[in-house]
Amino acid sequence: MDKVKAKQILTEILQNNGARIAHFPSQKEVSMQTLLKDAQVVAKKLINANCGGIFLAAPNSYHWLVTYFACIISDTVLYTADFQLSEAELNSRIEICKPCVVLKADNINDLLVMEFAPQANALPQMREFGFVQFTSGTTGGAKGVLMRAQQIAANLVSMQELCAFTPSDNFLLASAMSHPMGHIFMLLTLGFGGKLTILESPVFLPRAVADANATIMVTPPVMLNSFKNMPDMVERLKKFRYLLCVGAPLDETAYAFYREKGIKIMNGYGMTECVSGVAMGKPDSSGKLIPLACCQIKTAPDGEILVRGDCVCGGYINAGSICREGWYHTNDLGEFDAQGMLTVTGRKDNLAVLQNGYKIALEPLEEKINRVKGVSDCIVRVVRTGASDSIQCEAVVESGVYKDAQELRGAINTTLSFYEKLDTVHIVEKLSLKGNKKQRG
Amino acid sequence: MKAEQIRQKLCAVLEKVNKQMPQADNMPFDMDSLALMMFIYEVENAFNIKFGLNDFDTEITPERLVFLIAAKQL
Repeated sequence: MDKVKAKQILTEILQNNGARIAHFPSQKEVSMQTLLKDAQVVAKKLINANCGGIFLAAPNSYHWLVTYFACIISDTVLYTADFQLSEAELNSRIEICKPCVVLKADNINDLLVMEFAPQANALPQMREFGFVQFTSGTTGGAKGVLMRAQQIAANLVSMQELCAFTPSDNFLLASAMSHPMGHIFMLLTLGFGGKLTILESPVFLPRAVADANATIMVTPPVMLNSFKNMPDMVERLKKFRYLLCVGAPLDETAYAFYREKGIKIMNGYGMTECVSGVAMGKPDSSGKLIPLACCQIKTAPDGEILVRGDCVCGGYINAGSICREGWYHTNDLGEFDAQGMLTVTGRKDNLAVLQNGYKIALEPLEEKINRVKGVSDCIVRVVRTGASDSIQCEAVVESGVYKDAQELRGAINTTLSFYEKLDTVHIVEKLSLKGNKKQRG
Repeated sequence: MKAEQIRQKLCAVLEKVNKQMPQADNMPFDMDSLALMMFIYEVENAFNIKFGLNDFDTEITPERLVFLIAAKQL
C-alpha cells in the first residue's frame, strides 16, 4: 500500500460522521464532527510550533483521540508509552524521542488550550505521520517501534476482513489505546461508523460489561478466566457479538466453557513490531489462527514464527532494523496444520507470558533483584493461580538487612516495573531450584 | 445501615471475590487492579449502589469505603 493511499484511509476515518465516542459511566457522547474540529485546532498549533513529535503517556480519553488525529492531520510523530510506567521509566523514553510536547494524565485535559513551544531540534523521521509504541523493555532497554501510515492502514484493512465491524457495533475499549490491539480496534470502530466506549476509570469495567450495551471487547485471558466464576457476568457476555482475546493464549478449558455457553471468542496473535495482529482465530477455532492478508507467516526449521509483509514496521527509532534477512523473528514457536492454520506452541526464549498479556524475562528480572541491597542470589518463578499468575521469588539475603520477607518484598518491588512486581518472596538459606530452568514450573 | 453492618457485609463480599480470585486475599487495598474491579462491582451489587468517578479520586481505605456506602444509602 502506498503512502498517499494509506494517509487517505486514516484521514477518512475522521470524515465518518456516523461514529460516536461514548464515556462510561457518565454516558457523555461526543460526535466525530467535534473530534475533527478539536483535532484541527491542535494540528494547527503543532504546525505553527514546527513540532515534530508529541510524547503521550496517559489513560484512554477523548483528548488521547484528539492528539492521535491531530498528529495525522499535521504529519507529526506520536510517541506513546504505558502510563503505568514509573517517572524514571517514562523519562528514559522521553530522552530517546525528544518531543516538543509531553502529555500525561495531569495535563492532557489542557490539550486544547496549552501553548506548544517552537521546536528546533526535530529528529529526521518527524516530518511525516508516525505512531511510535515503546515496547516494555522486557529483554533490555525499551525500544520504540515506528509505525507509518502504510503499515497501520495495511493492518487495519486486513483486520477488518476478519473482524467485520459494522456501524451497529459498540466497542468497549478495555485495553489501552497505546496497546497494539487497542489502537487498531479504536480505528476500526471509528472508521466503520460504530460507537467507541471509553472507560472513565478501569474499576468500572465489570459494570460496563453489564450496562454499556457493547458488542465487541478486547480482553486479556485473565479477565475471561475471572468472569468464568461469575454467573451474572457470563450471562452479560452472551450479549456480545464476540470477544477478542489477546496478550496470551487462552487455555482450552476456558474456550470450551465459553463455547458451551454460546459466547464467541476470537483469539488474536500479534506484536507491536507488526502494528497489532498478524493472525486471528475464528470464534469456533479455539487456538488455531488464520494469518492476516497483510503479512506472510512461516516457521523456521527450529519452529520459530517468522513474519514479513506490509504490516511489518520499518524499524525501531533507537535500535535499528526490525527484520533479519527480510523476516521479523518473533521468538514465538508455532506450527501449521494441513489447512494452513497456525498454532502458537510456546516461546523460544525463557520469557514468561502472563495471563494479563505482559511478558517477563526471568533471568534479567533476577539480575535486577540481585542488585537490591542485601540480596546475594535469587530465583523467580511464575505460577498460575486460578484466574491470573503469581510472581514468586526465593532469595538468599545477608542477615540483619531486612526484618522479614515482607520488608524485603517491599524493597525489591520499588526497583521493578509495575508488571514485574513480586507477589511473594521467601527468604531461604539456599536456592532450591537454581540453575535448572526446567524446574521453574 | 450502620457502619458495623456495612463492615460485616463488606467482609461477605470480599469472601465471594476471594473465591472467584484466590489471590485477592487482602481487603482490597493490596489487590491488583483486576481484583479491585471485581470487588467494586460486587460491592455495588450487594449494596445496590453506584459509585461515581470522584469516589476514587482519593485512596480507597476500609474507612472510606464504609463512609461512601453509608453516604450513598442515605
